[in-house]
Amino acid sequence: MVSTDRGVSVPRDRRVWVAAIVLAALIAAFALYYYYDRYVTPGGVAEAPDPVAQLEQAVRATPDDPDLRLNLAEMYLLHRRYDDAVAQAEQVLAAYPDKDRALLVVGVAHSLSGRAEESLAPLAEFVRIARKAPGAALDTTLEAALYYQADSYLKLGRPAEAVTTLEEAVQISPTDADALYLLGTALAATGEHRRAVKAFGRAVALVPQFRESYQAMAASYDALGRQVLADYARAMVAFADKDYATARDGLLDVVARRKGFAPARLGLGLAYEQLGDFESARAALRAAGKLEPDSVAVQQALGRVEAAMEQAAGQEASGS
Amino acid sequence: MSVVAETAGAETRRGGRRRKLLFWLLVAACVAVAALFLLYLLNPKPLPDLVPLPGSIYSEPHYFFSSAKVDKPVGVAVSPDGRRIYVAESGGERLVKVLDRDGQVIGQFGAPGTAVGARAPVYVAVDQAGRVFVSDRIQGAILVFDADGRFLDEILSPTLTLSEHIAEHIGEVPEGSVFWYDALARQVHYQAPGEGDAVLPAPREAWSPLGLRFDRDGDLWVTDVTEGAHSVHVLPREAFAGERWTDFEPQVRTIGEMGNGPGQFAFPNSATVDSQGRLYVVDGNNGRISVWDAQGTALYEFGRGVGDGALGLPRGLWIDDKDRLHVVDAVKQSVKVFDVSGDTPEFLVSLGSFGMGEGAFNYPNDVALDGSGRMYVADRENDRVQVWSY
Repeated sequence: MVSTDRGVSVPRDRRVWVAAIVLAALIAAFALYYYYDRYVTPGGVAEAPDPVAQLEQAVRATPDDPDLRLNLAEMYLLHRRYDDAVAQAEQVLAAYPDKDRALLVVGVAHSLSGRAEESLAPLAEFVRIARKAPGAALDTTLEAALYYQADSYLKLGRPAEAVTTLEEAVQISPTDADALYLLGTALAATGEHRRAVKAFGRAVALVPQFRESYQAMAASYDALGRQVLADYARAMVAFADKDYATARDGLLDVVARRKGFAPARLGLGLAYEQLGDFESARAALRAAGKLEPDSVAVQQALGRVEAAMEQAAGQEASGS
Repeated sequence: MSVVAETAGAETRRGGRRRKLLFWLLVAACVAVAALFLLYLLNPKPLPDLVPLPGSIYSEPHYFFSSAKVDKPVGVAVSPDGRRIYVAESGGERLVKVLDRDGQVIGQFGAPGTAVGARAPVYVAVDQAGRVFVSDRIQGAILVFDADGRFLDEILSPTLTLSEHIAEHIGEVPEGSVFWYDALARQVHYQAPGEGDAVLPAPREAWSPLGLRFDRDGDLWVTDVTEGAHSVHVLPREAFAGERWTDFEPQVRTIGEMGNGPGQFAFPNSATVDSQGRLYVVDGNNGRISVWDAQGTALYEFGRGVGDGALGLPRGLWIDDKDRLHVVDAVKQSVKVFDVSGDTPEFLVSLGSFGMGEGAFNYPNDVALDGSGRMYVADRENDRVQVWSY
C-alpha cells in the first residue's frame, strides 16, 4: 500500500510542479510582452532633435535669412542665452533696422539679463511700431514688450513711467497676473498704496498661490495703517507657503475682526479645503459668496468643495 | 492492518486530494493568464481596461516616445486600426505626414495642384472607412483622401463638394477625371481622362472649416470660423457614402453663434460628442469648453478661472471610450483630462509642462487617442508627435 501510494503521489507532485512552472512562465511572458509593448521605446525612432543645434545649422546654411536668424535668437532667449540672442538679433537689425521682432528680442534679452538701460530703446521702438498695427488692443506680444519695458523702468527707479506702461499692458491682457503684480509694485513705489492693493488683489484672484503678491499687499496695507488687512495678506502668505493650519488660524482671526471682508472668508475656505475640512470650507465659502455673489474664484472653490463632499458621501454610501 | 498503517494511509489520501485540488487550481490560473494574454494580443488595451475593477480607478498615462521629426505639427488623427497616424504640418512643405505605430514617417500627401503657399492643413480626422479628412485654412475647405493619400474630393461648403461643383458645370464627372481647387487664384481645374486642363469658375459658397472629429456614429463634427459666424456643423454619415460626392445634399445641423456669452463661440477649434450624445466644443479664444445636449441646447461652459483644471488657450480635444475628455492647452503647455461621464465634468489630471525634453510640450495643438490606450499629441514647436500610453 505504502509503495503504491508513493507510486501515485510522485507523479502528482510532478504535475503540480509542472503546472506551477507553466503558470510562472505564462505570467512572466505576459508581463514582459506587456512591458515591452507599453513602455519600451520602439527601435529606430529618432530622438527629438535639439532645436538650438538644428537652428544654428540652418542659419549657417542660409545666413541671409533674417527670419531664420530671429528664430535662432528667440530660441537662445528661451534657453537664457541672452548675449547670444542679442548678437543674432542685432545682426538682423544691422540689415533691417525696422525689423520689430529683432527689436523685441534685443529689448527682452537686455531686460532679462539685468541691463535695464539698454533694454529701453529697442523696447520703446517695438512698442511704437506695434501700437500702429491693427489689433494692437489685443496684441499679447505688445503686452509682453510693455511688461519688460515697465520692469526696466522699475529697476531704473522710474516707477511713474512703469505705472503708465503697465496700465496699458493690463488693458491688453487683464488676466496677466504678473503684469498686475508689477503694476501693484510700481504703484506702491510711487506711494499709491490704495491702488497698489487693488492691483495685488486682482493678481491673487487670478493666482491664489501668488506669494509675492500677498507679501507686497501686506507691505502696502502696513503703509496704509490697515493692520487687519495686512494680517489677512500675511495669513495668505502662509497659505501660499502651504502652511494651511497657520493660514486658517490667521484668517479666523481676521474674519473675527473684519466680518464683511470677503477675501478673508475665501482664503479661509481655501485653507479649510486644503486641510480636508470640507464642512467648514463650504460654510466659509458660502459666507464669502454672500458678500461677493459675482466672484468667480468663490464660485469655483465652492463647486470644488461641494463636489468633494458629494464624492465622499457617495463613497460612504457604497462602503456601507 | 495496524492502526499506524491505517492512519498513514488516510493522511496520504488527504495529501493526494490536496495536491489534486492545487493542480487544478494551477491549471485554472494558467488558462486565465493565457486567456488574458490572448485577449491583450487581440485587443491591446491597458490592463485596467481589460480587467475592469470595481469603482472608478484612473491611472494616468505615461510618456512613451516621440515620433521622427515632423514640421510644426498642428493636427493629428489615428486610423481605425491604430496602425497609421496622420499628422498635419504647419511648417516646411505643409503636408500631411503618415507615421506608423513606431513613429516613423511612411508617407506624405498634400492638397493637389497647390504650391506650399497655397495650402495650410490644420486638423485631421479619419472615418471608419479609413478616409482622411483634412481642414485647410487657405483652401477654406475640407480635403478628403483615401488611406494612402490619394485625393478623392473636397468639401467646399457644408452643402457643396468640388466634384458636385464641377458636375454642375459640365454635367458629369467621368471616372478617372482629375480636378483640384486653386483657392488663391479662385479657379477650379478639371481634366477629363485623356483631355487637357479646363478651368472652371470658383464656387460662390464658402466657409472656413477648422476642427474635425467623427463621432461614434460616423457623423462629422466641423467647427467653422467664418468671419462673424463662428459655429459648429454636424454632417451626417450618409453624406459620405461612395468616393466622390456629385450629389452632396447632407442634412446639416448648425449649432451656436459668434460671441462670448453662453452658447456662443470665439474661434471654436474642435468639437466632439460623448457616449451620451452631449457635444463638447473647444471655444478657443473664450478659453473654455462649451457643452451642449443632444438636441442642440447649450448646457454650460467650463474651464475658465484658476486652478489645475483652468484652461488658457484650448485647441484640440478627444473623448475616449471611457468618456475621458482630453483637451490640449496650447499656452499652458499641457493636456488636461476631465471625466465627463457624470452630470458635471471632473478634472482628473494635467499632463506635461513647458519644455523640450521627454513629456514636455512647446505649444501643443492637437490630441488623438487610439483603441489601445495610446495618446498622440501634436507638439508643434518641438517638431514632433509625442506618444503617451495609458
